[in-house]
Amino acid sequence: MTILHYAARRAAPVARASADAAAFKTRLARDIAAPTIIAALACCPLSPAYAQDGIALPEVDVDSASEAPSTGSGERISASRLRNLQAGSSDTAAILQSVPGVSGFGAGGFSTLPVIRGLEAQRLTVLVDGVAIASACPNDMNPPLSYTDPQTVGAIDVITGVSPVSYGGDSIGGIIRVESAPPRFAKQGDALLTGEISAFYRSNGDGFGGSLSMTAASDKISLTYNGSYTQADNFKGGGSLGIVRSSEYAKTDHSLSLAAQVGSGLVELKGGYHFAPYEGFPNQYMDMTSNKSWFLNGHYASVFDWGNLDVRASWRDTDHAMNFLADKGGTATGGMPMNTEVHSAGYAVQADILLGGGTLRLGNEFQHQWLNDFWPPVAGNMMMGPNAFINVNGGKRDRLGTFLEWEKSWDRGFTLVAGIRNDQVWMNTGTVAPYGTGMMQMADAMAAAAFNAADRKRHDSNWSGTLLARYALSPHAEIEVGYARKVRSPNIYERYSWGRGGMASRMIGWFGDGNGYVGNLALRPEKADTLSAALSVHGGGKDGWSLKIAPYFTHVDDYIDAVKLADFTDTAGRPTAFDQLQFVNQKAEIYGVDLSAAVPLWSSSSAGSARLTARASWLHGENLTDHGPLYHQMPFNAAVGLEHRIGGLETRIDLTVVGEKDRVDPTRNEPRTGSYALLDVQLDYRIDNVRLTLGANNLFDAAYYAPLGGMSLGDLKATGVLRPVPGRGRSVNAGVTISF
Amino acid sequence: MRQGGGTGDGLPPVWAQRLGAGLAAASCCLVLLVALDANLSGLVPSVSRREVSSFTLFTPSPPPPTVPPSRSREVNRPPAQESGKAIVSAQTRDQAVAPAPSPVGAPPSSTSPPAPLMPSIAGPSRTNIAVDPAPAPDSKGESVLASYQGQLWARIAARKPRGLNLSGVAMVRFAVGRAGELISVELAASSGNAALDRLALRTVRNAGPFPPPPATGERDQLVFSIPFSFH
Repeated sequence: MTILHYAARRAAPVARASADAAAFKTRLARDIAAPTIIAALACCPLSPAYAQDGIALPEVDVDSASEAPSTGSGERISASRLRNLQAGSSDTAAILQSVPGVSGFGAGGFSTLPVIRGLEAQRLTVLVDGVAIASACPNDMNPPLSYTDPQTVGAIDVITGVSPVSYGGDSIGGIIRVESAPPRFAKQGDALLTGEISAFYRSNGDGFGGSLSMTAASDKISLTYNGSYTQADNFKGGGSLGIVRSSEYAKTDHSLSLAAQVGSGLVELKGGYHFAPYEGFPNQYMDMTSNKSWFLNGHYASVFDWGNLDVRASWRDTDHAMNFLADKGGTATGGMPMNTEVHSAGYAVQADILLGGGTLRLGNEFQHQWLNDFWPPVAGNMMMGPNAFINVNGGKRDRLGTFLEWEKSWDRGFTLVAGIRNDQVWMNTGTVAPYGTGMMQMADAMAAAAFNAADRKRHDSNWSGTLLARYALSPHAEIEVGYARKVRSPNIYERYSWGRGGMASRMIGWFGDGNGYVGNLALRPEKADTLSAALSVHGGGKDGWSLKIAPYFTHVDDYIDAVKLADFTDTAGRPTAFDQLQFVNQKAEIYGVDLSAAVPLWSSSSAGSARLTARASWLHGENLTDHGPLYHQMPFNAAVGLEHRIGGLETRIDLTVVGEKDRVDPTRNEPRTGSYALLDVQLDYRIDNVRLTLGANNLFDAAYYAPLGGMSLGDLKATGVLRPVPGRGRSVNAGVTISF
Repeated sequence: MRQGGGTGDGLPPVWAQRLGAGLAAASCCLVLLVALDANLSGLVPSVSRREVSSFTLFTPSPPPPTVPPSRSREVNRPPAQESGKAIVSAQTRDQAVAPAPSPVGAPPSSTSPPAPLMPSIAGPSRTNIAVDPAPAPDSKGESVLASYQGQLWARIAARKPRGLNLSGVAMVRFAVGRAGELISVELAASSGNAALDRLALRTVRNAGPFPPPPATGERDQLVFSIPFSFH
């Protein structure tokens, strides 16, 4: 009885309590969104030291290195990834091609022109340390990324989709931002002396190079030197494709930067010098025989209670010379000298004002570009004399950009970025002159007269706008949708190239197709409407699995394409494989999808950790005026990578597959290229502060033609056989980096 | 001679006109944005209001909690007179609030902070929970406070600034009033760098006002401190 009674007394509370427990469980299950917070709070118990400061909340971790670009369709190539790839390539733009949606068209050994989602270099914003670098060559041999070396670059952000207007104007495509390593300071009261030295060798083309970075710093002042050198001979194509002529290069870059912390601000001053004594261009008629560039950048960034202020000023002078390297006949008989000189300067001011829980960004920038392009006469040459050919006489392109942008994140996981931007572009140029007025120079003489008689002053007022919305569907899924209207004014060569003679026009163009290009004073700015989206699902934290699907659509009004003016003929008057084309405004559209994914395979102390990554890109570009394919559109391509890490050893195996390029632009006589697969392997071994790299690109020496490689004009000159530029054959690469 | 049409030399009037039109368009956009902002902001208070009600329901007034919602994070064992209940409720608490008090000696592994989850995501479900029948009062107070701390933390962490590539830990102390308003923000410990200190202070200032705290007892305000680790 007592027992029964006892049992009854026990049973009631147990029943009640189990109901409580069930309720708690339910709550736990429903509260599943917040367990991490509670866990974190648990990890930070009130310690006596903090008790007097109130209830201690967990730490907020602000990791500068993990900052990703603030849009869903972007990727950051970190310093360590760059160090992995530097042994294989000195071409920053080529390294970017590991980002889905990014391709590049071949040029010189360190001058590949990046293409993002079907839009090429001229249509992109490319910033080096926040500064745009003005083009200084009719063949775009010295694009902004040619002034960077993967050995010393800090990090690269690539945004392939719709980007905020504060990221740059006067472009209709994606964004590439190259940043130097941020200045390092010593701990308070300490001094810091640190640095890195590296060297590499590549078997294909006997490429070698090295770099040195050194920083001396106190807690308030930091001085850094960066220097690098790289050179290579002509490389060999895969399989039996043999030497690719005019592909050798050499260059050196040096910079000195001083950074000082002043109050709550940072002042930076960076100056540098770049010299490339030679760079062959297999797909151009000319080679670069000297490129010298000096720059000085000033930067002030400060944190205030109201927000941030960022001020930049920049100056750069470039002296660029082209002629023929040995494969194209050399300069014994004078060759064909072409010189370009550019002065550029600018400033950019941006204020980020914290307002109503969001950020209002106001910015203003100005960029001045002055360009002289003249081709000295060649003694004793009927065609190239008796005077200098004045290609661009004091061409000027000034741009004043102003933007207003607002960004706000709501607690529901919704972020909105909306901005509007205006770019005023003023362009003008002086009168021009042909080599002479002989019979053979008639086409140029008449074109010069017409050009000089025309009004060459141009002014564009370009309005751009961006609307980007991001929403966290769950802790494991985000979606981003963006719309942008972006406008770009033509560059100096698109508007002001005037030569109509066969040779003069063949000197213009950065397309590597062997055709001649004639500018057009009537060109209007390109206006692009882009819709892009990115759906990203992920799990398992930083090294977990992820999948990203990013479709896009771009319609471009007044797309600057080309139409045929005339056939180029041989000495017998028969048409050749090349045409004379002229820049014109047409309509175009590009749509496609980029995919990327990663999945961890295994992770254990004995077997290390392994990870599989994959990416794929497909796009369709069409000229809506002539209904043909757009030029230089990458065919379907995909890559699968296997990474394995154990101890200090990191192994990477990458398989890249590129489909057949059967959609080609008939206007440019673009070649078809076949499908191919490349296998790259790389081993990295780190021991203390030494890093050793051994790898092979194109391990099986597959023979292929790069779809955007252009025509091999260096080979044509030497062999008389016209072929696309072959892709690089097998190269065994070794590198060593020592930090101190 | 100069027949450049729209892009020609008639610069001043043409582009002044365009600039005017553009500025008008810009201000229209801004007005729209502000309207949108107001709308969306309107959504958030409605959610947090619901949370408030859930809190008031949560903090069970009858019977008054034997232990005030103290700042102590230790598990307050309930009075042992109801022996049976004591056993079970302790067990319950272990299941329910286990994450909170359990890792006794756990180091503040705050280097891996929780994902900045939005407190409002959990909001509606909590409203439902509030109708649950009388749960154990003291653990309730605990979990309410823990959950409120979680909300504060998430609100602040969601606004964390971009790093400046400088290292330092700045400790910010702030007081939250009965209505969730930010009463004071001050630097409890400097990072050694003026810019980092300012960033930390600014972040907390911008995260306020917060949702009203759960019953603060006699106090007019609750004081919190939060470290920002920059590196």
